[in-house]
Amino acid sequence: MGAEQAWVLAAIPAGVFLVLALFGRALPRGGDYLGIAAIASSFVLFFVVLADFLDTPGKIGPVVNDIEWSSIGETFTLRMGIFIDPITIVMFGVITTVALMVNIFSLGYMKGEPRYFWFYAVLQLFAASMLLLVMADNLLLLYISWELVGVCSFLLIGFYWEKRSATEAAKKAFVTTRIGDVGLLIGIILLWKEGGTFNIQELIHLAEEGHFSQPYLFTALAFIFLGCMGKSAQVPFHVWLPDAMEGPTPVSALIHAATMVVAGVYLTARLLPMFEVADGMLLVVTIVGLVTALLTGFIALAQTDIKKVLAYSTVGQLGFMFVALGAGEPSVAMFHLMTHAFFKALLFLGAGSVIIGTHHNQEMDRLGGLWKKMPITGTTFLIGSLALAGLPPLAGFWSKDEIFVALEHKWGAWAVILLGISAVTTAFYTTRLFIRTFMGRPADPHVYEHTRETPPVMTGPLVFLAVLAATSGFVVFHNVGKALGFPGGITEFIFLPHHGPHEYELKWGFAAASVAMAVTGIFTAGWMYWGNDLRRSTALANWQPRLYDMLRRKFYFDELYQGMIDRGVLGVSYIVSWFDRYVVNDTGVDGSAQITGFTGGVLKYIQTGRVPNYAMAVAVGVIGLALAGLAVRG
Amino acid sequence: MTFDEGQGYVVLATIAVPLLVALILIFTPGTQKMAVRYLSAVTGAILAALSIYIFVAYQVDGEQAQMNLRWTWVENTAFLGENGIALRLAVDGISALLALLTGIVAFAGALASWKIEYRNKDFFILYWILLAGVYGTFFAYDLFFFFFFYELAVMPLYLLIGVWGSTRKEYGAAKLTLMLVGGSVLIWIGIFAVFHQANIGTFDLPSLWAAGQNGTISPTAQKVIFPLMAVGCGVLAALWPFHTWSPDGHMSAPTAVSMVHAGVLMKLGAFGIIRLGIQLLPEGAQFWMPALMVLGTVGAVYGATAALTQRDFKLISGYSSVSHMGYVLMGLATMNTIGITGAVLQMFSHGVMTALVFLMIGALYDQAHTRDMKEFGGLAKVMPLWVIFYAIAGLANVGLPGFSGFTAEFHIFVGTFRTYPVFGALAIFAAALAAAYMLRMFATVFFGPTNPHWKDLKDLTPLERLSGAMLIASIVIMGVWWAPFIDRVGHTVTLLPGVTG
Amino acid sequence: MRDYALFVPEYIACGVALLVIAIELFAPKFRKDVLAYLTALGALAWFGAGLAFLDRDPKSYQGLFLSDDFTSFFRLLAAGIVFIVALMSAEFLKRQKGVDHGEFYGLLLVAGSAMTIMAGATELLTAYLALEVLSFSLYILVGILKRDLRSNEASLKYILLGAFSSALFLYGLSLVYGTAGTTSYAGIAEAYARRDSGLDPAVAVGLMLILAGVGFKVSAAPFHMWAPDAYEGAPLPITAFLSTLSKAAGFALILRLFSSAFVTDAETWRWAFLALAALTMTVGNLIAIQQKNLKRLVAYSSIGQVGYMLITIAALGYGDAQVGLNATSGLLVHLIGYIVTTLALFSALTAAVNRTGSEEIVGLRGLAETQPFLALVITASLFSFAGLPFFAGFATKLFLFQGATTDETIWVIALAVLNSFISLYYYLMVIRQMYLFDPVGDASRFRVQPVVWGLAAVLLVGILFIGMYPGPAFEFSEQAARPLFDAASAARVQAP
Repeated sequence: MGAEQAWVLAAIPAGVFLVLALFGRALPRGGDYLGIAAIASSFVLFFVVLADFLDTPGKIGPVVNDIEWSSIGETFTLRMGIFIDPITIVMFGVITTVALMVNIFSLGYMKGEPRYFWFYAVLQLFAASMLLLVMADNLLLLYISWELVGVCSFLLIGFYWEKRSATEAAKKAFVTTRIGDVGLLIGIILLWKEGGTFNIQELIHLAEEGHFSQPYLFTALAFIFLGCMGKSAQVPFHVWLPDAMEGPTPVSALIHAATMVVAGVYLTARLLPMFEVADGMLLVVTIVGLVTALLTGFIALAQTDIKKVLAYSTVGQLGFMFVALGAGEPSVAMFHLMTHAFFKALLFLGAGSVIIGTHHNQEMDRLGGLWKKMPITGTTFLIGSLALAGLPPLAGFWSKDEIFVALEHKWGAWAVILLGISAVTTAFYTTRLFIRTFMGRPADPHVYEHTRETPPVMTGPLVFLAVLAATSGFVVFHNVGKALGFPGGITEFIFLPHHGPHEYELKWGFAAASVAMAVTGIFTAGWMYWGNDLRRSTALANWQPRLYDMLRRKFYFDELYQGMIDRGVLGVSYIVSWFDRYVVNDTGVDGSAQITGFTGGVLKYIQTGRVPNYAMAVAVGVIGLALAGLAVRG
Repeated sequence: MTFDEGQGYVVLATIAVPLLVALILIFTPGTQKMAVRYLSAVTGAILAALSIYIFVAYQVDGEQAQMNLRWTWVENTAFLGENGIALRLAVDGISALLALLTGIVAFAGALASWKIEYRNKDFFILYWILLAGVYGTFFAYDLFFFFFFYELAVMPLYLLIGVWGSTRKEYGAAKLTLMLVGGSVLIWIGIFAVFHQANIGTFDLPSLWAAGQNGTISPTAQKVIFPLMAVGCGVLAALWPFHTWSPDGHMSAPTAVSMVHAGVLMKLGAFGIIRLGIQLLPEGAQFWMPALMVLGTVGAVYGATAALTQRDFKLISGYSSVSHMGYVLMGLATMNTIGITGAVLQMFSHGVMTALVFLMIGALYDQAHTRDMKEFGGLAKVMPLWVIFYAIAGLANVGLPGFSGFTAEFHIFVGTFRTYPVFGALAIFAAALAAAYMLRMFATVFFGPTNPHWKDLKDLTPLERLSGAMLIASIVIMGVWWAPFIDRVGHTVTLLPGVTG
Repeated sequence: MRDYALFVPEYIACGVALLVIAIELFAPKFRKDVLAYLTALGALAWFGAGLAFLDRDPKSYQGLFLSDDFTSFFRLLAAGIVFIVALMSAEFLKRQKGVDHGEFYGLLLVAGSAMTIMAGATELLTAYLALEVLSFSLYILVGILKRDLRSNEASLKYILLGAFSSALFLYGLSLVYGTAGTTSYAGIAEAYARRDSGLDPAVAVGLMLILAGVGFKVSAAPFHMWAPDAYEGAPLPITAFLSTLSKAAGFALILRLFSSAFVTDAETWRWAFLALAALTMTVGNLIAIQQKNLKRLVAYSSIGQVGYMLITIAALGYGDAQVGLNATSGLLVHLIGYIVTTLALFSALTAAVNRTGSEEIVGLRGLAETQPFLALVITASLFSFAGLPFFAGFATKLFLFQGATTDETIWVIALAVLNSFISLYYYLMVIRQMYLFDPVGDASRFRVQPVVWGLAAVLLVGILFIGMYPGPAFEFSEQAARPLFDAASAARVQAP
């Protein structure tokens, strides 16, 4: 099997999904082993594909394989196919690895949950759609899988549907992303309208040839980017992701940290050559990324729910990736995507481990000092946190550093400073999170008492991911890449055609700067929360209650949107329904019926029942006719 | 007898069988309820089989009109010339697909009506007459019989709803019947005008189509007549603002009738617009289609918006039907192959998924005797299978990839963007609204804490499962592998007059 | 020479009529319903004899009466109607007090023969006499329930207004004679073809008066007002008789008169028919919505039907011979459908009323439970009136309208179609009573007398047959209509 058959990676989990969905209830242990087997085989096959992809001699060319799907006469033909290039390869690696880890982790985490089989079934469906998404060679297929991952996310967020909040969160996630998807679909069709094809490479080609007019291309891409913002929860679409934490924690790790939410980043990276052609598009991307990174960085400062903090940090990191893309560096974006996938998945699974270990506590206010109780979880969580904070030599450092370099190179200092602030806040809330969970005195002795370290089936994945979180950053180096059989570091593996590959060299200035930011954040947080005592922080909060409240309430986005929905959308709907009932129906339809009846009622009274009147009518009729007759003739 | 003729008799059978069964039922004593049920179930199965056969046997590389059959009825009398009126049946790509739809829904509906107790014999008599009418309309290649069957399909509705219906049934039934017949009255006037204008002494549709396309029916006349046809058929297709029978009618109608009505009957309208509008009056179509596009878009957005705040399940589906039929009309109005193909696919897609929705609503209503969303909650615990089926229908309704809805709507959107980008964008927006009202319903009814009052609701009966499974199967097949559908439809659509590539 | 043989069928009819009356006179004890069956037999014989006159070359009696397929058509129609009404009445009259059965049945036959003469008359006075014979028999028949005040009142109104309209007709006739110098249709046509335009006003007024006269017969608005009262007062079978035979007769007269005598100056009268048609159908249908009484409902709905049919006459004036042929064939086939439907409706209604005794619409409440068959027949006939498929009305109405469609008439056609839509509403109101409500009083099934049952069944089959296979009826109508438009046949009609 070669890279042409990469679709098998998606086919296996898809098949297993069908089996589990139909018969899972009947299978022993809900058929979880089937699910893990499926993901594992995809994971293995990924390396087969990788090998086949790499050993093409000389320059690495993309692998294409497509078939005709349908056609209306000769006028409108749809082709479906796969397209494998370095970006896809990276995504494959991330998806299969994290998915496998999460599947294993869930063995412990989801133990004894109701609808256990259903959970595994949907995980398979998600893996399949996600893999399909990253290997789609045309925007239609991409959109299809795009929607499918959305549904999986919907199903998994709403997994605990007995909880009203979970249901609401699922609904919110689906509808919010759906609004973005409207844009995506419009954009896709707009590109097709001028380009006459859905095939991504052909579209890029056309764009580079200047086949599209500038404003047209900008409009189309802007619409598409709406879709990316929705999926990747960029401001102002970010509101759904924190709520999505209602879902089981492994899901948050897989879907809402590592894979699905980066679909937007992936798509933008995929279409980056077009973005570059369209003037101003890159700036839009950068600004969206920056704003998101800043806002969510601040919001995360005031959250007390572990998962919420991680969620906002995810949104922020996605912002980082968009900034990288805005700087025209897909390689950097993909690099950060990969490292982030590993350490954020690690952090979420760690959080999950904490939740299980403490019997479903995820409020910092009730945790603390767990490191002694949960050594493995604690240590791995620390590694993850530092990676997120961006301390060398952990993975996060390298990718973040690269982003700063690219950013400065493209947009100059102002952007770097803005992003720097966000980096500091990141380091801050990460440290806060770690201290308040794992260090100092336990906030709630009762919880502390009953806390146990989680079983190996859960800690195993943690360790594995911790290793990746620590080391995966090194792929940036030429020799590491070579050693792994790549044509060099990631920047030599992924690159825009006209930029060409370039070897990575460490810029000490930036490195120092970003380390400085990380350290600043870490130390301020350490100073404020050390020993998990909150006097300083509460003092700070009381010093500026307004500001604190604003952060805690997430800049009032939810309130704002709720108001818009209630007063705007639903209001209109009520008006329309009213109009339909009382104007169109009662007046228009029934009204005309009543008028007819009424006329009949009036005419009825001509029929008096008295002969003279009848004779009168006859006479009138005759005379009328006669006169008319004369008139006509005369 | 050539092979094609032989198949012609298959086509005839789709009309003859239900009528025959209705006749048999008339002479069955009303006390034999079980016999009636079995007979009807079998009939449904036969019809489904025949329809599938017709769909499969239709040659995508063959003639336009296949499986021809002609029996001369009246000719060479007064204004009727050579084969003036003939029972001429034939299948083209569009009717092949719609026949398939009819077969599936008819079968499902027959199974769903199994539990009808009150005068179920009379119910099935009317039910089968209605379906004979539907098949006839799809296959008729003679204007007289087209209208004959068209009316035949509308006629039984009054009693079906009036006698076996539920909420405000008399009002709903009367309104629905009158509005639909009101529509067909316009068609009738149109027919007189067309026949008079063409002045070739025959109701034979192909001849009249030829007359319409070679200008024997003058462009001016076409421009005058087209609105009659379009609005007349449009009423049945819930063309805004002639849609108000849809919510009320569906609210009153019994399950199977809602299924067949929303599933198949509404498609007759859109089908009529193709047959009597695009094919018969190309000039008129060219002239009026932009107007239809506007109305279609209004309907699509309007229906979706109104559905957002409804509380009665059937009202939601009624309004979402308005919205989805709006898409169909938009697709037709694009006058390009992609859009029209999409419209026809949407007819099928909306047919099966609405049938499924109404099947589910019926399954709940028969036990709960209320359709107020707010009264339910957490049904996923009580009737999981019901929820899954309903959810699939709903997601198809939302236009989720992998389900038929997406296939159809995608083509419609693409086709619309070809000529009217703005309307296309609006349509896609309406699709997002669909997601909103569907999920709102899911969230309230399926999920959340279970209301103990409903804890002893029964899940789907085996029969409901069977019919539901059939509908779901067709939804998924079309959503995943739509080539066979598009091949047949496209084969015909590409040859419609005045339609751009 | 005088060809008395032309009237053989009518001899039979009138013979039986005399026989029946004689029996009533001389054998008062004689079982009454036998008279009915006797009449029916007579009607059958009459019908048979009528068949013998089909497909013959037209023969004229002294230029007063022309025996051609057109005449035969109406002769058969008359015989058929009498046959059915007689059978219908058998049971019904038993229940009525103080009815002279002999006269009743005799007059049926006489009226029928009169209709034949009206159809065949080619001379105005003949036509007038026939018309009067018909009217007088109807006056009596309407008032035949001596003890029933409503019946008397109806009869009285009918007589007074009838006399009035006859006077109008007669005056019109004299004006025409004055202007044309002859009363023979052919003569009038020739005279009008080459007259000096000074006479026009007289012609116009004359035509309008005649039009009013016949308009009264077919109860076209505004000459329709007698109809509802007469229908309501008359015994049920006679209501059926009125709404079928007298209308048919009226149209027979109009058709021949206006297609031969006045055809040459169509523009004098065609617009009038168009106007009357529009007025009549609208008034009829709108008022029908408001009716509570079955008979009145039928009366108004039949007025609406007359409206549709009048378009045809207008079309005669607007088109050439071919259009005329089309339109007339359409009208005739619709007459067949209309008559069969009406008779079916009334046979079912008589059966129902025999049981319930109420002639109100609500009287039918729950009939679907108590007598499904009757409910079915009534529904079928109402749907047939409304022109729904499967039933006669669909095909025949379509032919009627299609035949009458010309560039000028199409607008009225559209109006007619809209009207038939309105009519559906009040038909549904009746059907609603039968199917949507449970019966008042005892819900047990009741039996229908076999004769009426059979009658209803046969007529139902007739409705369905015409509805699903209208070919034969349509071809027959065309055959009947042809002589009116063959130049040849017109030539044979020479003055004595």
